[in-house]
Amino acid sequence: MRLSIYTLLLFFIFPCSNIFAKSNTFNPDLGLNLLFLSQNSSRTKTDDGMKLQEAEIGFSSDVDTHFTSKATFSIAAENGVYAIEPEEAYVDTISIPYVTVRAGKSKMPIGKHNQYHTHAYPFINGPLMNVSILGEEGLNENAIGASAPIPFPWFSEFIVDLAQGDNANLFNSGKKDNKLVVGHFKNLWDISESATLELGLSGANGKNDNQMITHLYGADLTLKWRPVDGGKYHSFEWASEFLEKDKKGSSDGKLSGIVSHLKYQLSQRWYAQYRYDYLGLNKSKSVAASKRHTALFAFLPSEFSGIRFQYETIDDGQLEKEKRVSLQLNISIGAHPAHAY
Amino acid sequence: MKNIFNTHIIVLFTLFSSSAFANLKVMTTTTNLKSLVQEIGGDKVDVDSICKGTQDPHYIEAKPSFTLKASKADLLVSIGLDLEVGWLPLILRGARNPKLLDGGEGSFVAGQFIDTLEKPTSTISRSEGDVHPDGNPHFMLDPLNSIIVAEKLKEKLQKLDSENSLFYEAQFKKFSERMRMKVSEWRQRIKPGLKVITYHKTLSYFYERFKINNVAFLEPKPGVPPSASHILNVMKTAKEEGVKNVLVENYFDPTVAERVAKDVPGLKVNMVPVSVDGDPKITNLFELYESLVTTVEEK
Repeated sequence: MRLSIYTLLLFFIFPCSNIFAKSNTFNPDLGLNLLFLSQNSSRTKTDDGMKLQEAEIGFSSDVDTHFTSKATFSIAAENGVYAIEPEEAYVDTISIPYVTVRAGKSKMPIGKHNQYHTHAYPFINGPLMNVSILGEEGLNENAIGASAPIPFPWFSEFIVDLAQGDNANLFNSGKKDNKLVVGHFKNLWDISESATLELGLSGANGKNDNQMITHLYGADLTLKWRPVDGGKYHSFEWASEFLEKDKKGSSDGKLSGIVSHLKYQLSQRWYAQYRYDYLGLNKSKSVAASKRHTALFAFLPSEFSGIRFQYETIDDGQLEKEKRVSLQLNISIGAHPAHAY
Repeated sequence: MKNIFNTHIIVLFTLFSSSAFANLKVMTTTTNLKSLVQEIGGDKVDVDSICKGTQDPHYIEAKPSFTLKASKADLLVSIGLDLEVGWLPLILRGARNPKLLDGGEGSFVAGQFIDTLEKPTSTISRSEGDVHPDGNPHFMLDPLNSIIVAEKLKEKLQKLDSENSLFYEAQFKKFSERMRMKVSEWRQRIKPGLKVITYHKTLSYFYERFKINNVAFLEPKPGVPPSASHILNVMKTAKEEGVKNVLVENYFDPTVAERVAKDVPGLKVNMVPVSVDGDPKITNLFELYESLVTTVEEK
């Protein structure tokens, strides 16, 4: 009796294990990014101390012969309470030549920084102008969009999105028929075999909660250098962005800022960086102009981990400047698709 | 009137059929593959490589200009085995050229035709450094592997460009005969069991082919720069084994190797190109293998 039960089990287990092995083949690529942060500020103490800054869970896979899909879920605490949110969840077409159509929830193509996930930020926090103008989450919308190359002799691409316009800072008219249009014109030149220059122009238009229009303008310029010989050990990046909002119907509806950063690779695993933020190019009554200097040193043992030390001084018009020291551990496990150039 | 009409027809025919005479546009991921495509394709192909001869192919930045070239390519020739996994998918996504995607008519992945070395025998993890789950991807450094890939590449070119089928066949025959002859000659020049030390596991296939014994690596684990304690161990091994030659792939920093050589008498450091165009004198695969043989042979 016992022998026949074992035989029966074996009869089922071996074919079943084959079924399980086959069913894994089409599992999506799965990756996890973890950001641990320790912070100390001279003035605003609410974000001080050690915390899990953010966890990002990412899935990606081809859906079928027509679509590929990517979804990122972010877990972070707000006022001490953890919540999970969809950061991006979209499909891209793969079978249409020349054009890519994207549908879903995604970070809008306003400048370059707005499209970065937290673990890929060049510094531990975002630019002052992005946080102030677009909000903590940036401009992240449900949208349908298309991108296509423009047949110039250099790399040139135009992206346009038709979005719902839910962003509370800038749009969110309350009427779901009102949509937001976002456009981005990207150009990239190979200056030499070692250096590239990128110029982008962005814009967005949509109705706001005053039932009037908000205009958003952006420009980005990035110079990158990595020598063909010895490029493993030295590289350099200088990136600048400009962002301006004009929210009609609000008393301080006009605000603009710039951010510029330098990133130098000292050796295979060490980097030194500097950033300058200026917010308040248009004089606003309720938002004082702010200036910030940031210095950062990073040790990246591999492409999957990094330890970053950052020092900031913020001058926002108050008597004493705010000083902040941050230490971040940034790791990635599982599948890790390459970041855009 | 009839003559003008005929002239127009001829002009129109020439214009529309000119694409039939245009060369096949091929993009490769490495310069070794580019050289192979040139050997088999000859003047019937226009070929360009994404990675340059002095660059580490594991870590290329997916520049949009590569995307632009890929959008116009008829064929993408890559190594596979996860060598390009960090950057190639991004280039292909931006290229919007569906035939270049894996399995497409314009995709050729050389690695799938090779019986690879150093396949992991148990579960692997990143704690072992930069490990390749399907085996060592630097198979093009075995000259006989270049013949295996060349034959499959010939078949691919014949499929995409059947008009020049006989040409590709003749090119392959010429290439494979010459390569086999050279391998016999190189075998005569290298003493089996020759001991060397290398920086990274790039030359495993070359060593296997010519029975060279690599006794230590300067990297403690693949992708990890040498630590002080590891360098001391390597120096000890070099002295014990009587190693005369340290080979450092030319995209790495030679300083570490020079430090080892300073402490070990009779030890010579050689910065070696492992890819075509890694040195101005290395313009094709034959010259690449010849330069490696010259570096290791005892004079």
